[in-house]
Amino acid sequence: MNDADRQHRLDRATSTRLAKLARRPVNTLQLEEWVEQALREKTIQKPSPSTLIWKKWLRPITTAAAVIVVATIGWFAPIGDTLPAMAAPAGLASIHFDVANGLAPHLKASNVHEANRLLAEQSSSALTVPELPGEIRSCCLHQYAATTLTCVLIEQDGELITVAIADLASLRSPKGKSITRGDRVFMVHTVNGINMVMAHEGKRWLCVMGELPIEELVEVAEDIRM
Amino acid sequence: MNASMISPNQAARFKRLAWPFMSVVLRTSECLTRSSDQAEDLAQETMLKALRAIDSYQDDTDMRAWLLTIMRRTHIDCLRAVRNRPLQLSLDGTALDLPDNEDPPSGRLDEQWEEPEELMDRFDDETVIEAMRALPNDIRWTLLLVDIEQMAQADAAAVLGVPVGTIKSRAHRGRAMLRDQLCQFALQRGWLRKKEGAE
Repeated sequence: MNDADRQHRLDRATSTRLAKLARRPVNTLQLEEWVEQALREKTIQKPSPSTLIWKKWLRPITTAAAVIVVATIGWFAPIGDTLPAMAAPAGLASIHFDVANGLAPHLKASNVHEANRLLAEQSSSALTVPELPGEIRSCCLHQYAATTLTCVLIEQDGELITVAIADLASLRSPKGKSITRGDRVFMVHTVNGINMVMAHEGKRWLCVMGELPIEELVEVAEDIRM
Repeated sequence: MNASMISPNQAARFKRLAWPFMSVVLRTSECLTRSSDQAEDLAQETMLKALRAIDSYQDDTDMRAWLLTIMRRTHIDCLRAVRNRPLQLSLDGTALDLPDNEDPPSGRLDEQWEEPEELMDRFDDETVIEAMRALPNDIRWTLLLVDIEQMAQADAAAVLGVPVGTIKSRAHRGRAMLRDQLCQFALQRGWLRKKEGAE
């Protein structure tokens, strides 16, 4: 073998060995968590569609109406606790879309304990997540209707489901079709292909939403006990 | 609006385009630095800069090359910062750049390599990376892009901001220098016996 051939062979052997380094597994978990945190801290929170509609159309009318209502309440009765807001299905569907597609800042979690720990680190207003069916994928907090929604993304049979929890004192379900299972009543809504099942339990408001049929979402909600 | 803040759309774009290359960024960082902490720091800084600059990325270009260009600049900034603080340990303990007209010793031990493919495969990944870390910065970057990431020479030239001819000569020279490093390890481990006349 002449010198040029030998050099070529040496070069090729070196290059081939280096190329194998590209297949070396690297643990990106810590980096991913760090980048997630950076994204959360640096992303401006998008107002929910319901907020945008409010601002665009309803604000002038409702501001006047609110002044009258507040004045009336103030005249007839001492103001007590703040009234809970009504959950808007369109806004909730938007939240599910963002959560399921990873568009909202979120924390990866694989079980309830991890989710609760991560959420508690984020905010003292995070609510404790109960045991959930399916596999937990991630968790996050959403500011919604002047309250904090504690959201957990779960996967069941390959379908993504968002479980949202809020304080019942600050959020209520809108009227709609109801389904009764034993002693529990679930209110159901569908917006833009997203089904949602809501329930009031103890001091909590619960919403289970996704593209699964209503009946299957009710089954998931039945498994969640506050 | 705070200038350092990004919109949800920018965040979504970053996650869609840059996130899949997280392992490339960390893997490259591990070859450039001496500890896992330093590798994490360099990778984090690179991803943070990419996040802030996501609007400047053009959709029809190579995201991997874009990220590695950011990493290259970040790495140089780190090395310069460390160099300006002589009391601290260097990030990687090597020279910042090697002039291309300088003829470094390389290939001195090439005659030791009788069965190069076989011998190369005896080295584990950590040893090869250790040998890489001993190379001058620009040589190391060239091997990272051309041999590890299998980038076209023209693309590697664009990342490093040098002519294609420079990439070719650096790659050839770098492989010879790497072999010299590995040969030392092989001699230490008794895989090779030093031939007479070799340095």
